[in-house]
Amino acid sequence: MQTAQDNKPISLEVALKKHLSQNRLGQPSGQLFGNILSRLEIEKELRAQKPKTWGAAALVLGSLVLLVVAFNVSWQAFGQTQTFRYLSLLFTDFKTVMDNWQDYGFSVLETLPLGAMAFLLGSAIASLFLIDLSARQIKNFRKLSHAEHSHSH
Amino acid sequence: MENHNDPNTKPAENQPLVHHFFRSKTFMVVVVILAELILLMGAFNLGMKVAFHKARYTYSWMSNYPNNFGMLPGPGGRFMDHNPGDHEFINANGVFGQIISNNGSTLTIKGIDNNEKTVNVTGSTTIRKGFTDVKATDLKPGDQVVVIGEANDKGQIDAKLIRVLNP
Repeated sequence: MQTAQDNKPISLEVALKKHLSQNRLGQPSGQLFGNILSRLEIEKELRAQKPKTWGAAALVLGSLVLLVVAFNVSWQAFGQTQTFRYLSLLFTDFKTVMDNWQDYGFSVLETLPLGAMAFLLGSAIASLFLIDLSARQIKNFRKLSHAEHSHSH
Repeated sequence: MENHNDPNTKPAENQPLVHHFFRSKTFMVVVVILAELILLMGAFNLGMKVAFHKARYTYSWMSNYPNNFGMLPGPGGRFMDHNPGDHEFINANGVFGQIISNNGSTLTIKGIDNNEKTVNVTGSTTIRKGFTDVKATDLKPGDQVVVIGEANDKGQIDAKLIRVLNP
């Protein structure tokens, strides 16, 4: 009959000791045992981190594609509403624009493609956030890989 | 012995707590949330103003269409067949498009949204072509222009700046 204690996850140390005794491999010295344990810990962590790293990279790629799409949509929307025509007046007729800044401000605001701009800004923020997240994930993964290599040698 | 009448005693005791609160993460979060709310309200208010301008102009544009253009909007002059800009309000403070007609003081301009607008040229209107000022009579049908102005109650725009774009 299984007890609640049997279902508890056993530690790596206990599992290793059990494995060694079951296969009659004998007990390694304290230092070697420690090294094997830490190597196993790293390998376990690496296996856990691998899908996360790939996932983060895929998310960044997806968000970059979304950013390009959002940029295209915004560019087209700006072209359709001719916001650039109004903005160009700042360079050609600066003084008159400043004298009538309220009317100018309203005319620019009226033409702004707000939906497309929100889409672009949202995509940009999401991309930045995901790039930061995946950079940290990759850094962590590389650190673990490096530790694994130094243990191997 | 502690002096309870000393006015400096109480603030000195409270100061670390107050300082701690103002430097805490909670305080920063509250400040950021408040700043975002202020920004949101500002943007909402601005959006309301723009929408109000556009709605008022669209109403007067439609009401005065027969006076400004001598017929009802839409194909065959049927008023209900033509909603400006397909369910959108018309921009009230400017127009970019082509001059259809010019009688010297009033321009009819067809915007890129296919809505015609009547633009009044007043004494304070600046008309620029390239680097020089030109007169209203120099504007010809077919010229591409950008107009900035103020909507009036007759569904027209009193121009402040007319920029003729090079073809």
